[in-house]
Amino acid sequence: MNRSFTRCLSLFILAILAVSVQADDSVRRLLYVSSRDGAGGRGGKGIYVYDIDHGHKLVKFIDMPELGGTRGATACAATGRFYIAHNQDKLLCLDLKTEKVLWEKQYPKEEGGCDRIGITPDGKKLYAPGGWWSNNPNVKVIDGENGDLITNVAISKSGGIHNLIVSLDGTRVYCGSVRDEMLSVIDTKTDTVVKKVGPIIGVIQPLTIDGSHKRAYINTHLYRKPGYGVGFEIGDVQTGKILHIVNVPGLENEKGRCHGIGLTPDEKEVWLCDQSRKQMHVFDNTSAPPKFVKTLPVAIKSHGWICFSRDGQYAWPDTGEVFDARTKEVVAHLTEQPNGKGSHIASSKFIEIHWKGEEVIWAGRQMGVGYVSPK
Amino acid sequence: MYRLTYWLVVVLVATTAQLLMAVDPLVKPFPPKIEHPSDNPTTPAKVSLGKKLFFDTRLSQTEKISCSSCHDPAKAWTDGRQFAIGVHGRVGKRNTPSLFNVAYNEHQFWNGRVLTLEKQALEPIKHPSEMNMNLSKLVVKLEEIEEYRTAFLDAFDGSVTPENIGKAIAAFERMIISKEAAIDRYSRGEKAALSATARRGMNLFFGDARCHLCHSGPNFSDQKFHNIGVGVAARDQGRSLVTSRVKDHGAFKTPTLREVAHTAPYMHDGSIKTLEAVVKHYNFGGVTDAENPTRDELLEVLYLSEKQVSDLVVFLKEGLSSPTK
Repeated sequence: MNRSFTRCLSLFILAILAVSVQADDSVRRLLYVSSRDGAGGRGGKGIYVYDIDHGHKLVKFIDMPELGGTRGATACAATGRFYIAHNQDKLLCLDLKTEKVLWEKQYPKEEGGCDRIGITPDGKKLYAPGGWWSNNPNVKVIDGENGDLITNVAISKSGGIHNLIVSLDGTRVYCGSVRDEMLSVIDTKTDTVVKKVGPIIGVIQPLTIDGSHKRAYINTHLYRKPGYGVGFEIGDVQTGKILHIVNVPGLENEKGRCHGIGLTPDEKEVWLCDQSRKQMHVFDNTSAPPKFVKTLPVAIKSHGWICFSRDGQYAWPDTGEVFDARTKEVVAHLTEQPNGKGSHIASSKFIEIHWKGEEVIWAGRQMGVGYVSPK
Repeated sequence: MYRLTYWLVVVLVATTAQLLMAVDPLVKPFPPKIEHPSDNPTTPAKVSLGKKLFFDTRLSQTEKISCSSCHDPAKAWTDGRQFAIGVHGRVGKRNTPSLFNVAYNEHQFWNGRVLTLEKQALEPIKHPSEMNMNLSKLVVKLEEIEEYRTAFLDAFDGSVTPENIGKAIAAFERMIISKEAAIDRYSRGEKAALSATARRGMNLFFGDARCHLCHSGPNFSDQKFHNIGVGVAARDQGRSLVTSRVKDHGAFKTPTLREVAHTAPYMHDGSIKTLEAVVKHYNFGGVTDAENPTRDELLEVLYLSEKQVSDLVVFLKEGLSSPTK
């Protein structure tokens, strides 16, 4: 009796240990949503953390009352750091493990502000556009360790430097100005502009890049040219030429600024934000040019943003809705309370973070970039 | 000969059509005809009485404050302060709006809680933070003054009543019309009326800066209410106090932009001191540090450069306002 009891107890303990070990080994996928969005979001000041695998329920809220309007967010798995550009001219570094602010820098006005930031995968260099509101012509190259300015890369004489992506391998930075018709490509080894892509119609707004760094999908101001209306442009990053101007059928003569464009990770679809109509347009990207598939309604008129979970299961616009990217149905909402209740949280500055035990093992991008590797 | 006449007519018609299109005004002719209410037709005697009442400090409890204390004609019919100062130095909660072109307002006060000027005119007189005057006492007081007895006899049937006080002041206020502005001359085809900078600003006003979406019509107001992200932290309910609709929270009436260069400080709470700061506020889509779920959907980040902001301000000053003396 005693022996069998001991055996059972041992098995029970082993089972528990096994489950614990398994739990430690499992990857926990969390969505870090920085708030309050400087372009008009909803929520408190801080970071809302949602569990992607459990109905996007709120896990915690990292209170950061010092935050001004957020302009950009990025994270680095190698260093376990999360960065937020806020208040137009401030950059803040947070340790994801301890959730403590490691440093915060405020850059002088003559050095421009901090807009949609990005970071190299090793965490050594941050790239900060001078801000759409600023006449500063540069992207700041900043030391990811301490926030010190390393150098400036001139992008556009008229300033207005706004959106930016660091390529998955960290070798290139893609950046545009809201006052310029050319997309700039920066070599991160030399921190010089090595290619210009364009001219596009109007100015560069949000953009995304495929995994092989061949194609840039760009929100431009098509509506400024009669007959182009709502849509986007695709540029060839190698040649610098514009390959396609893609319209939403039936909206060629409509006015409306599209802000937000994302590739599904498998690059089979392009999603386009059309915030003036509270819509999202989906295109089939397996053909060139991409073909319009369908239009999805979104809940609120937001600033406009779209990104996807790394596995391609979920689409995250900046409306606080969570779409199943395959069925195109809304499956959850980002809310201010852990039980899925309370007001919806809306922000366009969010990053997917993967944890294994106590370690950050992967960090996503603000933009819905492609992840198909070069063949 | 007939053929020549035919072609002359064709050319004449085409040219006329082109000219008409060319002068299609950005702004409808100003000032539009004033619609006087049927129960308060205007007369010179009524306007004269209204003017007398408007400038008379005896209408206040302390006999130190008149309507003109806050609506000073020398300050574009404002007081130039963030908030009005009433009897005993009491400070109001909202900025004094200019009286320019109130004849065209469909609603009175920042939240539109009163529809007619006749009713509006009595509210500040009664308000404890403004003139704090009991209307029954005011009637008795005015009846004791000879010049008012005569004036009320000329303007009405002689009876001094709160209703007639309101009517007289309203009749006077309807006469407060801003001068023709450079934009009016420009709209009539006088291209030199606006400088090149002001024209750039005007194009922004009617284009990318989206100002015209609310500041529309000859008086540059859509007569609607918008939450533009101002004073959100102060939790002023704005229009929702009148309508009880959540979506109207923090919404206030679109003011005229005529003479806007002379009506600082700006917004319902007088919180913005300069036109430059106003345009910058809109440039960021009316987003501030305060959470604002009912911010008007018309507001978008404008992405204007500093130069464009400056051009737009020049248009507001040169195009819509009288030259500074």
